[in-house]
Amino acid sequence: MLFNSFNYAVFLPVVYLLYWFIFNRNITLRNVFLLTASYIFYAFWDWRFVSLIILSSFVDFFIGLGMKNCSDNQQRKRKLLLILSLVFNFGILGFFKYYNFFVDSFIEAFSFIGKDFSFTPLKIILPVGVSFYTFQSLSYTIDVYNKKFEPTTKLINFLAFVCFFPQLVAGPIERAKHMLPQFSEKKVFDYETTRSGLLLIVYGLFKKILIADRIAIFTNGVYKDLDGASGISLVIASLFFAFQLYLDFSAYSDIAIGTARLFGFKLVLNFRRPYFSSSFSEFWTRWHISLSSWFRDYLYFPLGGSRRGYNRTIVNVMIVFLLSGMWHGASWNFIIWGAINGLFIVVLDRIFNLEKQTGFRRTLGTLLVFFCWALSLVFFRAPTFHDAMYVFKNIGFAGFESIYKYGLNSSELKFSFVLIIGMMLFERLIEKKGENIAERFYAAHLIVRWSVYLALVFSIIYLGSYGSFNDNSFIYFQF
Amino acid sequence: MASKNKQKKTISQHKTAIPEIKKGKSQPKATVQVAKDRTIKQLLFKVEICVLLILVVVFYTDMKGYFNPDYSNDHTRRKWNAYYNFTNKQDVDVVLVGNSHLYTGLSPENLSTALGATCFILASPGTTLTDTYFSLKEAIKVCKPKIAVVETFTINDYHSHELKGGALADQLKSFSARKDLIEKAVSTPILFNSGNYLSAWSNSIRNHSFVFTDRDQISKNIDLLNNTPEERKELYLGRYIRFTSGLEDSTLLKYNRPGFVGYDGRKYKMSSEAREYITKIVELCHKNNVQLVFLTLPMYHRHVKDYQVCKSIMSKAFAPYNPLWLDLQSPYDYKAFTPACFENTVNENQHMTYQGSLVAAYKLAHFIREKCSDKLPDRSNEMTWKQLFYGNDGYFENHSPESDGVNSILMKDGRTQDGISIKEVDLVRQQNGYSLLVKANKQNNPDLNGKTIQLVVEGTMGGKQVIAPVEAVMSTYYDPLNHYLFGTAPFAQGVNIVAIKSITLKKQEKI
Repeated sequence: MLFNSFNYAVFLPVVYLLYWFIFNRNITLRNVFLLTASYIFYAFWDWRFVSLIILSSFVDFFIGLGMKNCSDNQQRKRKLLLILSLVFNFGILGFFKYYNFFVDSFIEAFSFIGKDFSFTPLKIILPVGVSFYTFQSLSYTIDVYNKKFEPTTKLINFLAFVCFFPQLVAGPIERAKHMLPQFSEKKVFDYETTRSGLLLIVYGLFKKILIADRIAIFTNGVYKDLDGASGISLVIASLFFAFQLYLDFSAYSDIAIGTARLFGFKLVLNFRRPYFSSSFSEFWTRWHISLSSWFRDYLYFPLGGSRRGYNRTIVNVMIVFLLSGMWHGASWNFIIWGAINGLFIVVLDRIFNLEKQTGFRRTLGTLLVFFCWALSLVFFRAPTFHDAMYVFKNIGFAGFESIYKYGLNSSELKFSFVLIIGMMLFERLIEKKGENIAERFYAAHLIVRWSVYLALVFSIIYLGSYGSFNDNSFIYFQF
Repeated sequence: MASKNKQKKTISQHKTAIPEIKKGKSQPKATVQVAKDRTIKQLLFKVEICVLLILVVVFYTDMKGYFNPDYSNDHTRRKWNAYYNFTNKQDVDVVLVGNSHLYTGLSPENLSTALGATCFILASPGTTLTDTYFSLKEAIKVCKPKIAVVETFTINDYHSHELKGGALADQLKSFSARKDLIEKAVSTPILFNSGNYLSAWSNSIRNHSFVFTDRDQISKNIDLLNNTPEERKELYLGRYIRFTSGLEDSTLLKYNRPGFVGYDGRKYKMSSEAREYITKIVELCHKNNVQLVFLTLPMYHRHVKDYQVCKSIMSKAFAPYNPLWLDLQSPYDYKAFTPACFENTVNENQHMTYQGSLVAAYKLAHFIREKCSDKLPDRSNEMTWKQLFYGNDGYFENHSPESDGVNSILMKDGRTQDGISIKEVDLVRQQNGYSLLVKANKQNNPDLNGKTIQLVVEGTMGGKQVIAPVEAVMSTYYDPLNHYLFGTAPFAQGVNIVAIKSITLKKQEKI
């Protein structure tokens, strides 16, 4: 079920009312209800794969319990259980997401040295959100193994933690330490929290429907017809895609966080105005924070982080970014994209000393980071390596093709630019003023607040890019 | 009390607004004064107000029609409006439902005049059998017809919830044109997937992109609010004359290409949904005591390959109900369905021309007369029926003119020198001028198909009396139920025919 769908517009209020008026009287009952709602939410995509989530959750729950029952001198058994969890979770990912890719790459590698194998790719459906919930579930067993978290004995709570519907299919990837205790708390309705949650949902829909989905028409149009795209179209498409990806994914995260707030849950932040980062290192503390921190805590730190010398740090960073690229998708383009971003950190941050710049140089750093990021996303967006190389070869070169042939006419293109600039200015304002803006807004006169609410809603309805003929799914659903 | 309501509240991180503000930084918890401890009911009340406001505004823009599409070319809407207006005044005896093949390929005026009944086409372009079912259901609800004709092009391999692009647009158009709110509500979840519910119900939602893409249409819609166009007054029974010229020689040559296939019957598939709605249509008609007739309109015989494969699938689907089925594709009438009857295209979706629509209408009229004439009333003597159809296409071909000062009967109940019984000879004004229609009874006459009648007519031209021979040839497209129809070419302007001097059957020239 998409957050920007009619189904969700019905599902959410129904679940919300049942939750607060009927099921919130008892914690277990409430969690059973949330669990059921979450499975229904997922089943709207494909009910068969609910069983995969249940299986994954059961395995990690019992592995957690197994670790709990190990005494201090049964370290080997604990390790075996951890390995079992890793093998199981990565096994699911490997099969559903990477099987065809690995076999295909293996065959290509052998054909390179003159040995040919035949391979018919399996028709495997990639379960929506599998990368997210397996990482979330995995973080639990790793934390339990590291004794950072006491394993739960409440199966329902754990199942609900793994499949909590607001963040089930595209994150934020939660940690058990932060999220699981919330399932044991008694929830009391809080007006302010709910209000901010609702506003976040509307704000997310505004970003998604008004901006991201509109500029998606242009980028999709260009990438569908790369041969006919002029240099200027490729430039616009590359910049647009950087904004599309950010607004699309951050919109999803906003709606997820906002929805969770409606039920009294707090989700971690996933984006913190990444396009105002002045260095690549800073960028990755602001972009897809829940995934970046996952890799940091469960891969980068165990590899030694930056404590083992400069050369080892470079290796560690590159490992993290290669795997992060691979996490996004089973294609060499994602791996290259990850590698490029790793190189940005180890090369550009160091050459330009980006992390320590201030004033105008910081602004230049911010622009450098953004443009490099936008260029790296060509690998993220292009369907094949050859397409990506084609974009790089032709980007910026003059051409006579109209930029209006990709589905956006002149006024829509102008409107898109205005919206993007407006959004960035608004984010800049938040960057500068911080929480004061929110507080000032909530303290403002009723007419001001309602004008903003209604302006957001009506602009979505009358100016949004949606409808029967648009593809409005979220980009990160494919991961 | 005041102190009870006022309390200090700790706002933790999650309570901050757009989008997060404090998150990511470990800041001290802020404390603010909260005026009231507000409840969930207060919040829900505000949300309800907000939702209501949104609905009111969207409803308002829908009512005003700011986002209406260009209705001037929306035949589906015109059909439904006309159907409701028509049935306010009188009954419809035969309702025909289907898609564009039907409304271009069958003349309801000629079907009506041939049968002496009222026939109305409620077809929508590109539609499915499911949509057809709901159209028929609403049509029956509005005015229970005696016969329902369902065209079979709508029976194919579709699934309503998976329709995309043009097919979805057509379904939305058809849905939007219907008027019965209850029927529409019932059919919404069946015809559309949930993502299209709002688009189906609201033009503002569906066409909101006009703000960027078609501001002219919004301006036109605003103008229309002040200047409502006058309703057209001519008889309208749901026909759309889209193609007037038939297959050209250059197009026909394409059929000679080796392996060329216009429509391949082997590719025909029928979805489970289509099968389900065949059953539903049969049940609907049975329940309402409406005689169901399935109708397959033809495409040019060289256009279609392996039609029998397609036909056998349809036959199997129809078999449990044994309905009446007029299949004009097979057996194909080579004499009647000439290249002039078909749209000049070799594209898979070949429609019929105006000429073809006449042939098909008479074929259907004969079929109905033969199979279920008892179901239909004969309205040809009813004043209201006459007022509707008099002078329209097909009337004089099937019925006698009245003494209207323009059209006249020149001769009645005569016999030619060869012993052919002549019902009447009419002088009627048609599009290109006056011409004679010679009607010879089918009963008591030998087979006159392909024959020509010679007449000697008396008249005046430029004030002078003239007597001249004219030929009336058997009509190619009109095939009335009770008589053979022969027609002359239109007379030159200024020629005034006053009497028939003699009638003979033209002898076949021997070669």
